[in-house]
Amino acid sequence: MARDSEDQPLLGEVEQLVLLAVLRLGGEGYAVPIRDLISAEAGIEISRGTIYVTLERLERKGYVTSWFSDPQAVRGGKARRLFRLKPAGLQAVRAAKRAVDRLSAGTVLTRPAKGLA
Amino acid sequence: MRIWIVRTALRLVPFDWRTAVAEDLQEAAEEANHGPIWLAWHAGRAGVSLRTARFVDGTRFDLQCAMRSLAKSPWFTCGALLTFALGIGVNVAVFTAVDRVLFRQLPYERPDEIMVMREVGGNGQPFGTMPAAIAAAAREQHRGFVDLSVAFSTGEFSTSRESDDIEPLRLTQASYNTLELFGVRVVRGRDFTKDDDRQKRRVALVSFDAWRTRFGAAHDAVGRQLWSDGNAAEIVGILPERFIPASNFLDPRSDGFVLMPMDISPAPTARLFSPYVRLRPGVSLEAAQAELDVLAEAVRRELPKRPNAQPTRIALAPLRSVLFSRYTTFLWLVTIAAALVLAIACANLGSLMLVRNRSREHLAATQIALGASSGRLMRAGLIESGLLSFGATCVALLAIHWTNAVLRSALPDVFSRYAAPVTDPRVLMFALLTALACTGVAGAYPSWRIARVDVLGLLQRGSVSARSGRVRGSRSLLTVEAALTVLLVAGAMMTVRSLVTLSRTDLGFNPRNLYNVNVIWPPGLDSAARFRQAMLTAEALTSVPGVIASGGADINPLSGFLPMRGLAQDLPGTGRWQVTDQFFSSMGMRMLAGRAMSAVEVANDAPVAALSESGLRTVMPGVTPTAAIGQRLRVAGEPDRTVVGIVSDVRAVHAASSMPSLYLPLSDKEFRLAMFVVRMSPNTAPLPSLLRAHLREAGVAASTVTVRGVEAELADGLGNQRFRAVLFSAFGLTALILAAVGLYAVGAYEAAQRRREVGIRMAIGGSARAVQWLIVRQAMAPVIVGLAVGLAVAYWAAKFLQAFLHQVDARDPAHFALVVLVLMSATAIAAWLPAHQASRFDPTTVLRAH
Repeated sequence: MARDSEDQPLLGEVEQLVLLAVLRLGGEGYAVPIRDLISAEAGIEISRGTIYVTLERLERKGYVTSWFSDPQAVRGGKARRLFRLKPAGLQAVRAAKRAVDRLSAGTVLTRPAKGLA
Repeated sequence: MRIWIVRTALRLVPFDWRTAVAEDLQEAAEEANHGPIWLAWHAGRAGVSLRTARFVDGTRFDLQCAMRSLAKSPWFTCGALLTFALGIGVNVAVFTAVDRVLFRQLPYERPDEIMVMREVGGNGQPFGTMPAAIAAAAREQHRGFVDLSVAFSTGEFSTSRESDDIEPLRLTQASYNTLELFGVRVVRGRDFTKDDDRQKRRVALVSFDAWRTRFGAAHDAVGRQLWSDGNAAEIVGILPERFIPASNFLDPRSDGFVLMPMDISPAPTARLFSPYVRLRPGVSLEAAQAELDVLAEAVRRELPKRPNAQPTRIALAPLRSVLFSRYTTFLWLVTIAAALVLAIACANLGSLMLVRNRSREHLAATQIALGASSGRLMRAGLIESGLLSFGATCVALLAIHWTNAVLRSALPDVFSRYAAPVTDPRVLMFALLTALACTGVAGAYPSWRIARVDVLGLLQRGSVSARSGRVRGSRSLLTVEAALTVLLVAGAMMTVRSLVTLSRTDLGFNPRNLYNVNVIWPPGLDSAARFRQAMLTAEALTSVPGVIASGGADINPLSGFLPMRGLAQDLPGTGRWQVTDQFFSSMGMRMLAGRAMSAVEVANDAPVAALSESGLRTVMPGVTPTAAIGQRLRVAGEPDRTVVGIVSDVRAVHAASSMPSLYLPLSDKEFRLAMFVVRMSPNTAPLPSLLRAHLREAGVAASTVTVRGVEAELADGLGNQRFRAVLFSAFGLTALILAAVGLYAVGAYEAAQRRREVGIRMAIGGSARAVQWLIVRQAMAPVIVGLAVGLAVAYWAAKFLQAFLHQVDARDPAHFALVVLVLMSATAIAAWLPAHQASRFDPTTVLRAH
C-alpha cells in the first residue's frame, strides 16, 4: 500500500492541530475560534502569533484557503479573514492521522495498559 | 478603540494580515474587556511573529535556491570559492600570526601599568643598561612605583649534564620578583622567592610549551635539573600557558626564566639592565616620568661626571611598545597587504557575480513582474554571496589547519612562536566577521543591481542576447582590482630587490667559520682582575684545537651592543672600540693601509689607534688611507694617538649601516667586560664544553661560556629579509592571479555576448586579428585606468616600505616600469584568451543562430 505522505512534506504538530480546528469549524474558521477550539478541545494554549504564522504557512503549502468575509453588521465593522480546508489539506490530515494510527496499533495506546507502572 | 498606540503596533503586522489581526484582537478584547495597551501588545507580538516567520521561511527558501543555483554552475562555484578562499585564507593566517603581538592584551595582570625604565641617548636610542644608582633610588623613593624587577639576556640550558642538547632551552635571566611584578602565578610548583635570591640559588621557571614539548608534561618536571656550563639550575615552577617571558626586547625563542640575583649596586659606575617597574594604580605615565626626572637628576648630581659621555635621560616606556616595537610597523604592513588581497578577492567575486547576474536579469525581471520586492531579490543575491563567503572561509580554515605545521616551520620565530591555532575562538570570530564583511562588500553591489533591472525593457525585448555585452559595474571593479594589484606587485618587487641587494652587501669581515664567544667571569672581580682574566682568555682561546685566530674587544661590534663612547662627544652614531692585537685578523677585516696594533702596543696601552674607512672620512676628511698612516690623532679625553692602520668598515648584520669607528688597544682603564671572536678551521666548531676546559686549564675562572656562530646569525638576519620577500611575493602573485581571473571571467562573458557583433564584423570583412584587438583593447581599458591610479598610490605609499628596504629606493621609476610590464602582460593574456576564442567562431554559423 502506498504511503499518503510520500509526495508531501510532513505536518508539524501545531499544523495538525490548526488544520483539524479549521476542519471542525467548516467555513467559519478564523484565528479567534481556531485558538479557542484548540484550547478547549486539546487543552493546548497556542499564542495568537503562532496561529497566524501557522495559518500563513498552511496557506502557502496549499492546505487551506482564505478569504475576507463581508464587513460585520456593526458600526465600523470590519471583514474577518476566514479559512477553509482544501482537499490537499484534508489529505494531509488524513495521512498524518493514519501514520499515528498505524504506529500506535497494538501498543498500550490502543489497548488497556496492563502491567505498566 | 483606534488610538495611536494600537495603530503603531498594528504597523508591525504585515499589510495582508493587518485588518484580520485588528478585527480578531478587537473581538478578543471586547470579550475579556481588555484595554488598548493589551491590544497594542498582542498586535505587536503577532506582527513580530509573522514577520520573523516570513524572514526565516524566505531565507531558508533563498538558501535552498542559492545552493541549487551554485550547484548548477560548478565551474563558477569552484572558481569563486577557491579565489575567495585564497583571500580569506591569507587574512586568517596573518591574523593568527599577528593577533598576540598587535591586538591582544599582554598576558599579565593590568599590563598597562608595567613600564620599562631605560637610559635614552640624545638621538632617542635606548641603551641596554642604566646607572644602577638611579634604579636603586627609584626603587626606594619613587612614590608611583609598586616595585622594580630585572629580566634581560637569554642563556642556553641542556636537560642533561653529560651532553649539550641539540635544541637547548633558552631561559631569560630574571630577578626573583619578576613574576610577582607581572601579576602572574605559576601553574605548577612555585615562584622564585626572596630567599632564593638571598641564597643565590640556581632555580628556573619553564614555559608551559617547553614543559609540554620537552618534558612530555611530566608531573615530576618540577624538581628536575637543567644544565649550563656544568652548573645546575633546578626547575621550581611551570609558567602559565601563553605567558610571554618578557625581556628588554622580545626574544621569541625564550622558554622561561632563570633566577638572576637582584644586585642593584649603588656604586657610581655600576650599571643595571633596564628594569621593569609597575606603576601604582591610578598613577599616569606622565606623573611617574616627572617624578623620575627629578629623582634621576638628584642622583646624577652625586655621580662622577664621565668625559665624552653623551647627554642622556631616564625614560619610562610602556612594556608593550618596548617588547614589540621592532615588529609593529612590519606587522602592520603585512596586515594591510593581506587586507588588500582580501579587497581584491572581494572585487573579484563582485565582478564575477555581476557577470553571472547578467545572465539572470530576465529571470529577475519576471520575478519582479510577478510581485517580488527588490528587497527580496537583494536578499537572495546577498545569500548567494554569503554562501560563497562562508564556504570559502571553511575551505580556508581547513587549509590553514592542515598546513599548520608547514606554515609554522616557514615562519620567523616571532610569527611561529606566538601564532594562535586556527581553532582559537578569536581566530574563528575573526574568520566569521571577515566572511560577513565579505558577504556585504562583494555581494551588495551585484545584488543591488539585479534588484534594479529594467523590468519593462527586458520583458519587451524578451531575451538577453539582444542586449549589449557590457556589464555595468564590473569594469569599475576591475579598475579597483588592478589598482590594488599594482600596490602589492610593487611591494613584492621592492622586497625581492632589497633581498638581492642585501645578500650582496660587503660586510667588511669574513663571517665564514667565525664564532662569537662570550665569557662571563664570577662576580666580585675588580677592574684589574677582570682585565687579567680577559688577556688570559684571549690567549687560552688561541690554544683550543681548531682555532686559527682569536681576538677580543671591550664590546664586540658584531654583538649588536652600542659602544660606550663615540669617536667624539659631538659625533653621535660613531663608535670607539678597544681591541686586542689579533682582533682584526680573527675577524678577517681588510687592512686598507698600515698594520694592526701589535701585542706589545696592546700590553703597554701604547698611544696608537686604527680607524675604519668611514671613521677616517669622519675625522680626516679628504685624507687617503695611505696618507693617514703615521698622522697624529687628537681624541677627546685621551692622549694624542698615532694612526697605525686603516681597516674596512664592519656591518654587524647585512642590513646594518657601517659605523665610523676608532679602534684603540684594549686597556685596563675602566675595564668592565670583553667579548671574543674565534676563527675556526673549516668543519670544526668551538664546543662550549671544550672551550670551558681549556679556559680552566689556563686559569680563567669562567662562570659562563656561550658560543654563537656568526654565519648562522647572519643567515637568521637574512632569513627575516627572505621571509619578507617571500611574503610580499606571495601577496603580489595572489593579487595578480585574482586580477587575471577576474579579467578573464568578465572578458569571456562579454565575448560570448558579442558573438553576433563579431559575426557581423567578420562577415563584412573584418579580420580575426582586428576583432581580437578590438576586444582586448576594450577589456584592457579599466586595467589601464586602475594601473594609473595604482601607480600614483604606490608612489605615495612607497615611503612606508622604505624603512624595510636595504639600499633600494622605493620610488625608483624602474620598479614602477617593471610593475606596469608584469601587470600588463598578465592581464593582456587574460584578455586575449576570450578574444581569441570569439574570433574563431564561424560568422555564418553565429549569424544563422541569431
